[in-house]
Amino acid sequence: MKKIDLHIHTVSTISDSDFIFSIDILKEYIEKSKLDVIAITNHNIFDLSQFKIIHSEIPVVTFPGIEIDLPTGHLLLISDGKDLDAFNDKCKNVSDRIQSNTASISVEELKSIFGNLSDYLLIPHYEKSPKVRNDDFIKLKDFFSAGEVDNIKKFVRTMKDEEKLCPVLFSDERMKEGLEKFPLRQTYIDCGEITLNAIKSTFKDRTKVFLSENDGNELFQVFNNGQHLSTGLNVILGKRSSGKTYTLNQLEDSFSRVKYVRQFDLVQKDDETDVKSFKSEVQRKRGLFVDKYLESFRTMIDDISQIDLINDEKKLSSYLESLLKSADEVDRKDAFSKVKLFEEEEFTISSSTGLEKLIDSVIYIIDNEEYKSTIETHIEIDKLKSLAIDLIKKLWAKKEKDRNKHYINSLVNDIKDNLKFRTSSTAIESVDIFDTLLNKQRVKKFNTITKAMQEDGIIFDEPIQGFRVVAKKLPFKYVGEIKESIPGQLSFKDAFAKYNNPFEYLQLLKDNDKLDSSYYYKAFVRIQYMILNKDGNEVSGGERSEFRLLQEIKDAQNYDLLLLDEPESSFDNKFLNSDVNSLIKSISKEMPVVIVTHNNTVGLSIKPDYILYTEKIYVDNKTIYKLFSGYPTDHELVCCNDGTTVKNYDILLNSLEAGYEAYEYRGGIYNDVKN
Amino acid sequence: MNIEEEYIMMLKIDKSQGWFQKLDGGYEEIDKITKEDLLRIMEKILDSDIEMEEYNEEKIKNQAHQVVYKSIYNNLKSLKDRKEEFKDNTERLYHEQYNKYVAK
Repeated sequence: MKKIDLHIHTVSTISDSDFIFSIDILKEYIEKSKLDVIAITNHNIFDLSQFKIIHSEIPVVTFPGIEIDLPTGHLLLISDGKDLDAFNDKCKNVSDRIQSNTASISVEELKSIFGNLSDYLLIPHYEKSPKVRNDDFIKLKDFFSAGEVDNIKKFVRTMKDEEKLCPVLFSDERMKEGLEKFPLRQTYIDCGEITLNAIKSTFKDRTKVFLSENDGNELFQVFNNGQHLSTGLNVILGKRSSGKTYTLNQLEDSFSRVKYVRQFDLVQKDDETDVKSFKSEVQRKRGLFVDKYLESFRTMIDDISQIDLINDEKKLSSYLESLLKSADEVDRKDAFSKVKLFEEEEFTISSSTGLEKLIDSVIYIIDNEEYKSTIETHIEIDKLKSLAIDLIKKLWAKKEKDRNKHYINSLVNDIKDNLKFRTSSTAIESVDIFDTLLNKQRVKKFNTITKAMQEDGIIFDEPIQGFRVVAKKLPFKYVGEIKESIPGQLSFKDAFAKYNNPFEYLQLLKDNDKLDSSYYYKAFVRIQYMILNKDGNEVSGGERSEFRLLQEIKDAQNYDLLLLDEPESSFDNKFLNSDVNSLIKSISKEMPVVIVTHNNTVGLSIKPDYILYTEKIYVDNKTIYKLFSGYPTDHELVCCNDGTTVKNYDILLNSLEAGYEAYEYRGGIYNDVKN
Repeated sequence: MNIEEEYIMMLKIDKSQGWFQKLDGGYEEIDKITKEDLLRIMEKILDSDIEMEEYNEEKIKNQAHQVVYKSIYNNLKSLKDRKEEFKDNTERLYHEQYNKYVAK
């Protein structure tokens, strides 16, 4: 078995943050990690003289390589090193073309520079950012031997999928001065001789590529001391204060994306606060959905808020008053009021919105590619085009006419103003009865829609692991409920009296200067969130914690490692055994999970893949945490630091059953009861 | 059946004066029209087929009636001409909201 890391940086380029290469650090890394093969792969550069030094000083096989920026992602290109000068020339060509950190070379350029790509080992960033994607990937697919991933979870997932490239995990580390924590991202290959071709052939057979030396893809190295974890489910056992939580904290430090559910994190502390914070948390997570549901209502409110029916009526009154007054004064007309324009009314200008929408709709049909053939069976596209042209011409003509009307209206108004100034006769006020009537229709529709919206109904009903999150809409019954929906200390007492008449209610909300208009829509309908249990009842305090735990575990899918510290502290065995265990078990098929526990329901019923045992000892007054590990079926668990062992059977009984005697005693009681 | 029975005549000229139809179907002189009458006639124009006798300065001798009849006739005529536009506008009004919150 050979341990390889074919992605190592030794030159600081424009794509890296500044660092100073240290060959001693590289040597130390290779020695501590027990590597057999490495490749030097710097960003778009190959430093021949540096490579020669590394090659001569490093006791393991070292391949020359380069990490190239393609338009979509990064590609590792590794040479067998037989003709270093020729490889150096080709890499120089790449360096010349990529002078900035936004530049790249195309696949065609890559092929023209390196010639036959089969002579090299090509590994793209695969489940790792920035990925080689789309056309770049398709064009190079036949030359790829493996695909680089950036964590254990992706490695295991990719390995299981035969359709995918064989995954490889490499450090991608800068071997710089001051580097203290060495990466643990390497890959093992079952390969006899170490040549580039042999490595390539090994990658073609994914059964020869592993995360660990002796345990295939079951285990992976997690600490520099050689400690391994299972890629599935790990259980940490140990007495109180023996270093279990300390181990979890260390694991948290070793990974970049860790979901850590700490002990008592989910326990209910105070009923009222807990209910409130729980509901607001559920609300926050689903708030976007509700906002989306209310979005159109909000738009309608914005529009309706602009309507002032009282002012509309006032305008109509002033029109009529001025008209009747002017009729009354008809005998007393002077030279100014006798001018025809004095009684002239404005041209009405209709809106172009309808016509504009119609044009957009026709163009939308013309441009539609997805249903082109269906459209063409019914309508000739050329006819639609003529229609669009005709409508556009009509729009232009209308705009032209409207411009003229606007101009004439302002001219007439100007003349009327001058005449009004000189005459004692009353001028007839203008009125837009079209808009007045339309506003009345708007209000009517607004009232109908709002009333329907306020009726009891379910907005969404989402099942989550045996629970159901339900968002209900319903009318406000008490003024206090409105206050809960809108931030700030505001009074809705007066407005609430008109709650059953949405438009009048809105007018009263508008009168409240302290209420921001962006909250109006929230004052019309109450949204109630409920988490229901299996029986359809609202959840109890304990069930809330259960729901949270299940949510946290589910959320772990977005991370690379899940750590759970004593989930039994907050839950009963029935729940742990039925819901939690099965969920944890299924998540552990996708990613590594580590649970600390004292509870036999969690510890053994869950059927862990790997057991770790912590022990605290004192050596020369110093506290040392020892970690033993092994498979559940192993007789002994081994400490990877010093090779010492503990008996697995004892550990399980002591940690989970309060010792052999208590276990026997309990067994006796169960037997007695049974008989 | 004569034509006058088919349509409701909302504005008419008779006895050299302008008249409008009241809520009870009877007619009132045009200079007695109120804001409520006007709104009712406006709404009726959009709802049903109504007729208005065209303004004719020669036929109305009362000068005050000329002023009122002419202005109201012009305004209502313009509204009648825009009936289709009004209908389009009303139908489009909050269409999305109606479908989302009422129609379901």
